[in-house]
Amino acid sequence: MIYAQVALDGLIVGLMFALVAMGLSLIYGIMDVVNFAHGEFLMIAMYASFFMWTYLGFDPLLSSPIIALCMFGFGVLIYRWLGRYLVGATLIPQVFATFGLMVFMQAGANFLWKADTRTLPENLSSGLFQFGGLFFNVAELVAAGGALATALLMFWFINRTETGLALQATAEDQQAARLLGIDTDRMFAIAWGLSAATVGIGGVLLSTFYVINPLVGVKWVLPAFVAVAIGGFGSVLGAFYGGIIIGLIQVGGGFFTSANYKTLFAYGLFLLIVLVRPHGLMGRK
Amino acid sequence: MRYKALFFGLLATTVLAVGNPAGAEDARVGVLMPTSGGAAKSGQETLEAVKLAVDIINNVYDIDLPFARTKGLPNHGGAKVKMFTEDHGGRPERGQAIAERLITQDKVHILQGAFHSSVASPSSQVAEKMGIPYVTGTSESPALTARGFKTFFSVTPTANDIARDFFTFLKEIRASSGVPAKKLAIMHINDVWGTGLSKAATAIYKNYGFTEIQKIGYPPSVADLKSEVLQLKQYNPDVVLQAAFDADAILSVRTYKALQFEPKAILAMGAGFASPTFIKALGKNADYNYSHTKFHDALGEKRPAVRQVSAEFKKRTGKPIWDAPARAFTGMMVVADALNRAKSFSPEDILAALRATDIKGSDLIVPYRGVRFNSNGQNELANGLITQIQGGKHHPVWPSSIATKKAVFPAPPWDKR
Amino acid sequence: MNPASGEIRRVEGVPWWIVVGGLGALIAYPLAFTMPFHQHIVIMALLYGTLGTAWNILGGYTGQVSIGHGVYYGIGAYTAAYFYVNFGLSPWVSWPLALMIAFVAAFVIGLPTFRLRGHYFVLASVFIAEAAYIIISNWEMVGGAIGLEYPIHRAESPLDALWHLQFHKSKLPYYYGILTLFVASVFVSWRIRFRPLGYFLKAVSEEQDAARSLGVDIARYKMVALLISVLFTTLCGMFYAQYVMYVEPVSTMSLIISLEIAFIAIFGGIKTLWGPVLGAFIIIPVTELLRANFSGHIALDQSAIAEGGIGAWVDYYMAGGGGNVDLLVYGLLIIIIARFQPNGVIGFFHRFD
Repeated sequence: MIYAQVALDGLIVGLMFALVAMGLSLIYGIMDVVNFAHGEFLMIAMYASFFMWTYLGFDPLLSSPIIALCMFGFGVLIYRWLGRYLVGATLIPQVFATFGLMVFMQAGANFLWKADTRTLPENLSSGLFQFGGLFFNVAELVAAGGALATALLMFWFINRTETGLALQATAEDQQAARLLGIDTDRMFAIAWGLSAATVGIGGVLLSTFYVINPLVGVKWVLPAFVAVAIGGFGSVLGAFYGGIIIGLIQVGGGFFTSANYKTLFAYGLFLLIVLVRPHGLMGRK
Repeated sequence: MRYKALFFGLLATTVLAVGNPAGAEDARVGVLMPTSGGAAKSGQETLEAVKLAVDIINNVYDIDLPFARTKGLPNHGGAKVKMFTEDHGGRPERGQAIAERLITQDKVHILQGAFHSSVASPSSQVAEKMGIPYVTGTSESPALTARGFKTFFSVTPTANDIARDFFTFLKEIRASSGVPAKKLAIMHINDVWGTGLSKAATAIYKNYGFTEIQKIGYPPSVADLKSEVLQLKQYNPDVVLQAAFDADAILSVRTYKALQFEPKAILAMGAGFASPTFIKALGKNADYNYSHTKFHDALGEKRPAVRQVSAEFKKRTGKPIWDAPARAFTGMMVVADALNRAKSFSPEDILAALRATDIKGSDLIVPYRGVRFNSNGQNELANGLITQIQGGKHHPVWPSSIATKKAVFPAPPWDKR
Repeated sequence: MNPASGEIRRVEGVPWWIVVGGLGALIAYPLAFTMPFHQHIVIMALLYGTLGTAWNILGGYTGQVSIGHGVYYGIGAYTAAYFYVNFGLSPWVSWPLALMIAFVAAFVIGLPTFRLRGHYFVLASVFIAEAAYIIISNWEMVGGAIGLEYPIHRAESPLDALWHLQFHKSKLPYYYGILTLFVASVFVSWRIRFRPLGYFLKAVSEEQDAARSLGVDIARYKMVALLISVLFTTLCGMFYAQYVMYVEPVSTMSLIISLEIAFIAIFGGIKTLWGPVLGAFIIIPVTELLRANFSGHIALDQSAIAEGGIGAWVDYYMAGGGGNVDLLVYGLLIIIIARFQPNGVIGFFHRFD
């Protein structure tokens, strides 16, 4: 029975990773840029959720659309201020700039809100129950469900709306897209906004059961990177699957061997996959 | 070209170093603490406690502690204690460099630090090389005093002491409750501090009636603790010894509840479990966990200074004082005591004063029986107390001389709380 | 560059007499600045300058951006520490072993991963470094998470001190030791850059397919670059161990270290000879001074603010909070440079085509 629990927990954690990973993949798919500060966006959203609860009494489920919108705006802002200059840039300037952003945001959080760990007390989605011998944590279930819903929303947007299709076009071939009259600059901005918004929702969902401090972003973003890499850069769907795989591997691997080594399995899997398929499972050539 | 100016302008702010002139007779103390990095929060609060101590020493406060009601160091004509500090962020090479700078540039007479044992080690090596005394109130690694340094003094109990206290308590409680406990698990964050507890416990568990042990460590960077708790559940220990900081402490207990992991007792080595954030975050779910801590308000029954200092700390930081800051505070008081008794501020005189230290337990805000250093520089009167959280508050349950409540052993299962 | 025609010989744009002058200044520096802290800053700058230069050979010249060089640094540090602490063997004896281990690691890591392009290679290097960190943290033989501490050896004679590579009376031996390593690395980097090897590496970095079609053995050149890079990185690790006398996973093998190494080069300007040097000599002093200034000046009351400057002002008004201001300024600096000189600070002095 405990194996089923391992699988369940792996799936739940995996869905959270998937949500974080999708945003990363989006920006890369559109402009070949890896945003190393992605984890800090997550962290900011978690703080936003905390403050909305503490000062306005908004339950995270309520504040998630608001925060998603704000994060979208924030993502666009970062694009206009920094991301714009990374279009077509090689790897090095990307690492450079987004790394600086990461340091700045982390230090900023430490400066404004101190290093204390904060949590949201019991809220709308708290609660535990057992079913069929398995233990369920309502907050985690809701978060996992929310992650799934957001993923579906994202897929719908990308594949069924005009803007979404324009995004795909820009990702495939910037020149051609421009010739078709698509405003690529606007597309990039939207990609950054969407990326921030999805990871922002992830942050709000996480805040219902996780801890909040300036360093949480890093913890969640590293496995997300593995997820994106496994799924293949450029494929949002690949990132989604990658996240779930990583979650399962981490919880499962850690359980069956030693918890100390649990992150090694994700890394090992990445190396295995990438040596056989250098562009990940579903990545762009 | 505008940005060039901006860049160099920012660069210039870094050089706006203003010197630190101090009165010639002032006592200069160098303090090393981490205010950035993984232990930033504890480091920040610990530093605040040290600053409070310096303030109390230098000015007049209505507190029942030596040096509070006088200004400065009485034996030196009221000379003030001047504090110099820098953030080491948990990096050993920084600790080393900072110690050097404090000694050679700021000309400190004595050093205090460093929270991280991995930083206390190289920084105290520097002090030993240069003959400058070094006092730690917070670094718990037994290896530090085992080095036999002439200049190193530890006021705090070590991980060995903590392990011994835990097992002594468990032996007593097993006997008095008639409930057996043989399987032991150690759940620890895999860094210098957590591994220290694991080592200390592994060395002596058999002497206290435990027959099986399993060690579960996790790297500081993990996002979730599910595999760890699932492993614990499968192993099904009677007792868990835990070493965790705020975030993982909270996460682990939440996961325990979610997976209905209910060992007979969970004993934590201070830090995350002893910090006020723990109870704030977990509410009722924090109950029945034990902490080995060196601070509790109950001590204030016999020592008014405990509550007075606690109030001052709260006034300054808005937060209650707890284990680590209290020990750092004590470290500074020990430093002041030695400085005061020293004939002069030369290293030899301060060292002589330190070796002769004999502070009464009643003059401390921590439960030590006193402060007296053995030949290795370890305070042989250091001890802690074990508290259990009942009804949302820590209550001392051991040793019996301080206990205010009886320990609830075994802890009731989750559905009966 | 024909001196006879009156043109000044330059080393990548820098006139030879500045290079010689700079070297002279570095040699004379610790004799003029005798405060240990001032010497320490330059020692660290030289250390990271060497690390950055070594990294650059793989990352800049060959285009293989590795954020996992901490592995080799750690191998150097741990080998030196392990053999000294357990067997009393000084690095003079253990260095060949350290290099051997590092080279084996380089082969094992490099061969499979060189096939990967761009971001995949970067991530592979990150994950391998993280894996190495976790393995070391759990390896009892080298102290696990606690690490290894050197016993203090009080030398009986200068020769004895030299053998043990522990110098307690003065930092000068450490300083000149790392200076030698630094000069060697810059020299090697220079020779590579403007010689056939350098051109091959550049070809590999920029036009892999074209190079392959010309018969250039890509894998072999990448490995050569990696090995040279690893050589210096490992030696730097050994230096670190002797200098700090405490080796543990976080300060020698963590992701942070790998990031710092790569970042020094990136900040300064990769693909150039002087970029990493510039990067090290700006970042190290700046971060040290920032930290000393902002975290080191505290104010217990208002009157102390005047003494403590900006740092004290921040500390007093943000009581308890306001930590990390130094990192805040640091991050801001990085963002500004990245935005305006994405090719590194060297862009201020060097025009790129």
